[in-house]
Amino acid sequence: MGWNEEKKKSLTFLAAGVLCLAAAGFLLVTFSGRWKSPPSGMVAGPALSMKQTETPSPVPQPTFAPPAEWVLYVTGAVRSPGVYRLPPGARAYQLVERAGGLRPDADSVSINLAMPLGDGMHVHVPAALSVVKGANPQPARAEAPRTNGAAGEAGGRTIRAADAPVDINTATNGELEQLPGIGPKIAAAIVEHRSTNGPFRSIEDLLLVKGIGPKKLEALRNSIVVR
Amino acid sequence: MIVCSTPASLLLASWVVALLGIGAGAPPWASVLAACLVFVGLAGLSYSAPAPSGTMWTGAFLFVCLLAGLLRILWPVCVPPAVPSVREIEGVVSLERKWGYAHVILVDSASGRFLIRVPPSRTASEGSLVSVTGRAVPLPSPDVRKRDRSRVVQFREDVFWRARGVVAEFVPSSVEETGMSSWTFSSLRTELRRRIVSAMPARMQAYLLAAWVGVKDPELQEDHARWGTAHLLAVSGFHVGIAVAAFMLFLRPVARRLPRLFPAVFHEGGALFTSVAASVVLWAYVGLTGAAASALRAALMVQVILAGQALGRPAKPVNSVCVAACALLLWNPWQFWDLGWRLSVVAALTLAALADLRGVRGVFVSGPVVWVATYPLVAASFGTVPVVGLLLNFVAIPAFSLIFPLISLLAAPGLSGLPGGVVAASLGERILTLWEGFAEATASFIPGTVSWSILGAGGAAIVFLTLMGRGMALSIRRSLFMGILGALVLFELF
Repeated sequence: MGWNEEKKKSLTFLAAGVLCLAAAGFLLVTFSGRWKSPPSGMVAGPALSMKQTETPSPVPQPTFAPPAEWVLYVTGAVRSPGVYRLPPGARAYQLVERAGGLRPDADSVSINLAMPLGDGMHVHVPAALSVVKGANPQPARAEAPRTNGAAGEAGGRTIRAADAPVDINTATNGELEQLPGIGPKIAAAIVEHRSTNGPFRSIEDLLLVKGIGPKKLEALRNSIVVR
Repeated sequence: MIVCSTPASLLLASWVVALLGIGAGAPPWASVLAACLVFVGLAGLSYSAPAPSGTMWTGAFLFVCLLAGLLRILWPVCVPPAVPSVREIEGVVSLERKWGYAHVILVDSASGRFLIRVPPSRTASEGSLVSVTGRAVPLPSPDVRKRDRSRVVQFREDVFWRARGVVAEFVPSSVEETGMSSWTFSSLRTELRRRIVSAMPARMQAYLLAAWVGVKDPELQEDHARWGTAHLLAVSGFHVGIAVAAFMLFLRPVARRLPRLFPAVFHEGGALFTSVAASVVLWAYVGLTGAAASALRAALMVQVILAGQALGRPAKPVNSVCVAACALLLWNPWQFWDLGWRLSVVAALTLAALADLRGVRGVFVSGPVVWVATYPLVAASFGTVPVVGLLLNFVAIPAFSLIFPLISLLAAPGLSGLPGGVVAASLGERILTLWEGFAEATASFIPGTVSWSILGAGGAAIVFLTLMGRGMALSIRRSLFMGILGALVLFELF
């Protein structure tokens, strides 16, 4: 096959190729928007009848099985601080008992031993010294475990003194905006999250708010509290 | 000719055209016909006489593959799968993430993968076994078939979840956590995630979560979006490549000794052993990161390269990427509408087409060209693209190919509870603080952003398609011609 013939063949293929590509483009442009796929809502099987389609029954609120036992963390003026497992419904005194009881220097007045607990709580028992020194006594506080993170595990509640950091469950937009790294947008998101999903169970629950990540949470940790 | 040099690119281009057609509301027959025409057109465009022997047979075989593939790809898209009629599911939580103000979990059960919305305070962690009663309903599917030019990209929740293998939504009436699966990727992810969150300082946490479990910190994501380096946080070929390269670096001395120790089993410098071991690490890493589309695509591509190495037949970069992209489409065609899949394929194809550029030239050219090629997709989805990304990517890509392995190494003692973990983690935190300061300073010098424009997107499409032509071994003139023609069709369609 001569050079000219080869070139001619190449050019023929090239022209055919261009024609095919142009035809493909023309086909898609001409027919676009002319077809609608069947709705993806086809339901198979007898479980859902036509009656249900006509008058849909209200979606039941899901119920969640409670954990078989609570995992709790106790620190501060107890004999054996650490993580303990207690039956659901336990109170602070039970946790303190499991931790060997209060140390002699524990501030037994500021800790509410009858305080109801929740799964994943962190209870801190302050020493009496801090009560003497501080203008406001610092009662026992319960916090969520720091291991929580984005997975959103169980949380807790915190009880602190009056001059303590901002309570994210009661703070207004203005108060939240005073916090480091919180602007009007995130403050509004926190308040909206609170009103939609109920109070925050732990500081780590803030990770559920759009715009707050581990970095911002770390910056906020010492300035906020959950009651 | 493409048929012989990069056959997978022919299939990918044709399948993509068919899916583009379906996405634009063209009837299936028109989409199939357009795909066939693109197949023949590209083959004709790349023809140069004399054709290598066997081209006809290869072409015929590819055409059969094209038709079979079209059937596999278009069928589930055109005929949506029926919702399983189940009242109770039991399975493993394979994904847990925030979704607006709620949380969603994906449960892998015997009837398929279900999407379940749960309150944030009651979400189940990945890897846990759950038993859920309720009813299966179709995924929310808005009617967006009619063309809407007011927004360039519309988010469709059903497509998003279908791309992740979800068959239906399950509205729960009760959810019970029955335990934790042992030694599954999900449970390993949860454990690693827990350790990272509890033992690492803030920046280390955010970067390690992104690189190792594929969880993005919204604040860090915002920072990287502002710097134009958001791709560093999504597990992609970059991360997969680093993980495999680091492992192979560690393995090389071992592999060299193997043929001497076991001459009967290991030949040729232990190439087979290295490839198999690297493949195991590769898929383990991808599993750990949650097997996102970009990670799977990258893993398949690296796997093709590793297999080529083991068999002594090095693969062409563009063909490897196309093989991986085709495999993903065959596995789940809905991925075509996933932004992650599109970005990762476009970026990988661009890099593969530029693979001949090596050394400093390669580093300096690749970043900006990838920025240009992905600009239409990013701008269409996020509104704007920061210009600083053009500059920062020069530094970010080489810098993070060192930073990621380094911070992973520095995090290891802290994550495994060894002494010195806190000091090592603080050192890692310091490195990341330095990067953050540098990126922030650079971004403050170049604060501009580029919005989506038809001219810019058209130019980017021409650049990308021309590069593809070059990657498919077409001449510059033919590549440019293909680029212009392709860009015209794309913009008429969208």
